[in-house]
Amino acid sequence: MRQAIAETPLLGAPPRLSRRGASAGLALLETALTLGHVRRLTERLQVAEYRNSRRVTEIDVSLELLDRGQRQALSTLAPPPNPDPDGGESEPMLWLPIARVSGRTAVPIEVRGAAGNRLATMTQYETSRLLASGMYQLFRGILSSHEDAKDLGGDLSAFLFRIHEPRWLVQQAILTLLTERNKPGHPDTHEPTPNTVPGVNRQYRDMAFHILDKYESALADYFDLLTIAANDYFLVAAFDQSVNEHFLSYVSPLHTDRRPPVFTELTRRLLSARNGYYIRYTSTIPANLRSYHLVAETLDGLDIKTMFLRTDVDRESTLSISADLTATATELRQLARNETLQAKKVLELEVQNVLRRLNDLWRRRRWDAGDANADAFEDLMPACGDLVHAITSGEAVQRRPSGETDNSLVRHPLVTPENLYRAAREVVEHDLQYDISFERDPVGRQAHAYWRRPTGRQSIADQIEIVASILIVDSTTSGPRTVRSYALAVSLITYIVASLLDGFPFPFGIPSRPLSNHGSPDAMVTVLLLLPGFLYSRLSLPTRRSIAGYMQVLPRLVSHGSIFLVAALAAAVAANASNTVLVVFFGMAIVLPVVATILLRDPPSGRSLTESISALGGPKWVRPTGLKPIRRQRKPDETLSSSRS
Amino acid sequence: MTRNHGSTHNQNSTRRLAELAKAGYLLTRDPTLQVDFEVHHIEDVPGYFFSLIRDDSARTDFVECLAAGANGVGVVIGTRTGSDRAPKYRLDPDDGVVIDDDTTRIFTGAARPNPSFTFESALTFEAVISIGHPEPETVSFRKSLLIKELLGYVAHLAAGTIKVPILSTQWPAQIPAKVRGRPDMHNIRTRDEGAPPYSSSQAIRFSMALGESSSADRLRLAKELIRFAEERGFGLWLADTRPGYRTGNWFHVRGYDSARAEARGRAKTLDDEPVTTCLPVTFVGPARVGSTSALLSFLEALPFVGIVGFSNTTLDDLAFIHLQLSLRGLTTAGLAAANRKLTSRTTHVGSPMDILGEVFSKLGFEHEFERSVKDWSELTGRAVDYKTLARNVYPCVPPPPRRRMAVWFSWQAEGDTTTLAAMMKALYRAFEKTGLIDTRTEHWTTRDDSPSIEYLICRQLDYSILRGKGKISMPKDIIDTRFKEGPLERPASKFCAKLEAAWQAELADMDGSLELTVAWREAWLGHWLPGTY
Repeated sequence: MRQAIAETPLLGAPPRLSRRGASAGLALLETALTLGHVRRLTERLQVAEYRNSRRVTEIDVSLELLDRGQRQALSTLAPPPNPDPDGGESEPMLWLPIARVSGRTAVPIEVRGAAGNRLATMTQYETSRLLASGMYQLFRGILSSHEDAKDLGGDLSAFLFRIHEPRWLVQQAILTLLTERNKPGHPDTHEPTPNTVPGVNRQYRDMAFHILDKYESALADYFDLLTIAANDYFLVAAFDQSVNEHFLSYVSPLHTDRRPPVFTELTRRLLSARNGYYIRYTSTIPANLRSYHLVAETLDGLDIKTMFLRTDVDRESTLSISADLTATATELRQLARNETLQAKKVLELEVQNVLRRLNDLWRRRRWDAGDANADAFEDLMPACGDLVHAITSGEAVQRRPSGETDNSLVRHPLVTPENLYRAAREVVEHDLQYDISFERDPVGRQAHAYWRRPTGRQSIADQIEIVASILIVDSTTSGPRTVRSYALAVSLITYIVASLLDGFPFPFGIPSRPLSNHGSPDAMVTVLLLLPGFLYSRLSLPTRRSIAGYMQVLPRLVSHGSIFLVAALAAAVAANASNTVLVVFFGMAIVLPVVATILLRDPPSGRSLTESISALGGPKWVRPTGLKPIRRQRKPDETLSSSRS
Repeated sequence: MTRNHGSTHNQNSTRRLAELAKAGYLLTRDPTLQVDFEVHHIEDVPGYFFSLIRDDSARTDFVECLAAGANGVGVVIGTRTGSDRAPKYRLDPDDGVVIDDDTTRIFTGAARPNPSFTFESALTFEAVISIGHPEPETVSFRKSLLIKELLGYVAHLAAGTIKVPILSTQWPAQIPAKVRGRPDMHNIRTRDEGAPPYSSSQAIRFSMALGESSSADRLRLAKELIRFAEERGFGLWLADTRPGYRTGNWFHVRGYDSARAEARGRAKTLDDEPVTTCLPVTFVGPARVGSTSALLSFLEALPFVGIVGFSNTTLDDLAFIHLQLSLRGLTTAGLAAANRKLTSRTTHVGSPMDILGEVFSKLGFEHEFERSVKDWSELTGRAVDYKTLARNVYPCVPPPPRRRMAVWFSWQAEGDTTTLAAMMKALYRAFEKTGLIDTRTEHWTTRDDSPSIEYLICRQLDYSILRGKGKISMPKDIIDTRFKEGPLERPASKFCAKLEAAWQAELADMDGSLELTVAWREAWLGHWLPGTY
């Protein structure tokens, strides 16, 4: 903002901003931030090619969930209604934000309705002008309610009511910030020219800076809002108001991570043939979204074996529980005997408060863990288990010597400062902030993960980060198998040719006898090239770019190697090479394909669900019994994200 | 200047920013960026609120509203935004005040709200401090000074020590029923809840916005309050913040310690005369942290002013601070003369100090005022642009001899400017159906045995939802005798169930979703989440 002000030329008249658009602009902003009218968000990932996936976002919008104020404000800029074919009056359309996407995405987004028709969307220029007008009015509203605005001699009242240029500068700067596509980069570092003094124009600018600095605390939230308005792109579509429920979809860009170095990629490819192709998809969804649905689809021949969704919806509450556990532990430790009864009571309230929250979090995770068969859950966090028992069991202690029951939780033997400290560490160390949702047995080429916001609690975070892990395996297993047969066939053909030339069953090791004297080299070359070549053309190897191709790098290598060996042998025969050379070539073409078939094994039948979740970046609390805690998590073969990192 | 989004500033949830944007668009609907408000100072007759809403040409079209009554003097505050601005009243040309009849003053005006004051989603810290026994008693001038001191303490604690806004403050308030410490509490089968508590007692109830508070913050604040309450012998309850508990569940910290409180009070031998008159004053201005504290420091500098009633809330980002000031030596005998003098005021625009300075001068405190107030700008700095609404001195009514119990009610409805009136009209009809009042005749307005609105707040929430909550006091003996049916159910519970059913029936043909509850225990009121079914 500061830079925008510094680089905007002075104005002689107020920038043209629609006043009526101000309330609509702010309503757009509010609606885009809350997205209260979005019932469900569905993302469909179509994964078929390596590093080339597609994402379709589908949104269920209900106009009924719009608040009346929002509707009023948004309808002030309603586009004219579609002409009604019957000649009657039809309701005007309503512009409504449906998504907030990172402003750095340059790809145009086409929004389509349920019938496949394309919906009108507001251009970014139009949206940003409305926002600018709203943001300026809000700026003015905040400053004019400040107590200094009434002070006639003060700078603020001068800025607001008397000296117009600095105000116009700010207004223009807001407009520039929001409408320009690129945001300011490096500030101007030009040295002041010698022998000059600050002129009138400088004073205007300085006044604007001074106001922004002086009222920075009052404007703190405002600047956060401005940052969002300036950096994000609001997808605003026109809706027919006569229908309440709408369904629309759009294809949105997806970013892949940087390609790994060749050697790393080769290692991953080789491993993926055994362990499956692992995709990690990260995205963010608005914190107040009601439900989210992720669908992953692949092509025939590829099966999704495991897919789960991890969200950090409980991040804030976990961190606050951990901090509160530590605070209460410190307090409990300090609670000397001479503390008053009241201080104990207040601590009791706080301890109960934090333990009930811990219990709630723990219960949810434990149920999640039960669903994922993660039996080791309770053994991982003994202190949390103790504290949760203390809060739910209702156990009281007896006071001595009176024998009176004391229900106080701080007197419970398990509620000790040590346990509280340990529990504070445990909740963070074992990732209790992550929940997971998954489909137990995904069927074939499609898998779902469904997440919905826990009821009753408002997340205070801005965005919820979701991480989906998808493991794809080659369901046909035809790749290794056919290539294995092929390699054996190549070896066999070569062996037969060698045996017929030289003697059964061991055609090697007799370099004294000239091999090349038998038979016709032309016929031999034909046999050696034709048969393996014909078989090679019948091998249905997947295309290189596909995921199946990625996983089948070893079969591909073996088949290419086999045909190369045979070709080399044929070349040697054709060139009438010496006996020793021929023996070596024959030997290689017979032995190496057989050796390669040993490498080409079928993928293992697979691990348990818990193991795969744990290995594929699942939260640390998902751990099967008996598994070692330090286990290197697998690096994904492909990382997809909705925003460029 | 624009900060990196998502950095350390994690308090700014999207929700909070969305609230700011919302406050902005509600504000920009009005071309002058102002909110209209209306403040009624009334002699608290039980039917006043009803008289505002009973005609079909309803005089109230408030969206957000606060009504409070104490000492026989009441206040009704309402705001509306963006609606038509047609004047409904014949205004006094001097100062824009409507004189409705002998005892009612209606102030209308518009003020700039502060759109950045958004604390709807913040966690609150709520507490009750009592400075006396639950039984209502007549307030002496000395006690009114003590009340002023207590209110000042709370306001300074919020603004100075922890720098958070006060969301609401109410004096007098209900002291929670005593459950802890009873001999039968360890056996659930013999446990008895006891009688419904007094509807209001000598206590302050306040809530502060703590943001995303931590245990450490709450403990610090609680310890500070304990220290203060212990020193003075005051009772202290904290709102129960445990999950599963809600507003109206109180955590008892300490009871009122009369021995200690009186030992301290006796040291000062000031006026023990009961307060018989009070001057209602309402301050209106943009909501901001520290304004209440500034106004109370100003009043604390004036030894001839005490406080006998206080209500403070924020409606549509405007802060309303309503006080009933007691003035030393001003009795009912001098009431008429005082009111005559007050009509000759000339200053109607200015800071709270200018206006109150003139009011106090007219009432004969000119020298004392000038002697007491030294550094003016320090005292009301954060409230210097607040409007000061004060016109008449009212008689203070001593508490009724009959024990009154509270009937709490809450509702949530989709609505607009007519909803509040419709809801309250239906509530009065429900009272009529249960046989407690007769709205057709005027005699139900006798103060002593009629239901009286002690507190009412109505706010607009997301999704055009209006949410209201209030406390009506009723003589306990009437409920006990009329609704006594067998030993199983308490008469109070019976009455609340009947009233709720009658209220619901009255509103049967209202459009949109509607939820309501009536209960004599505040914690039993429904709390509905917006946007859920």
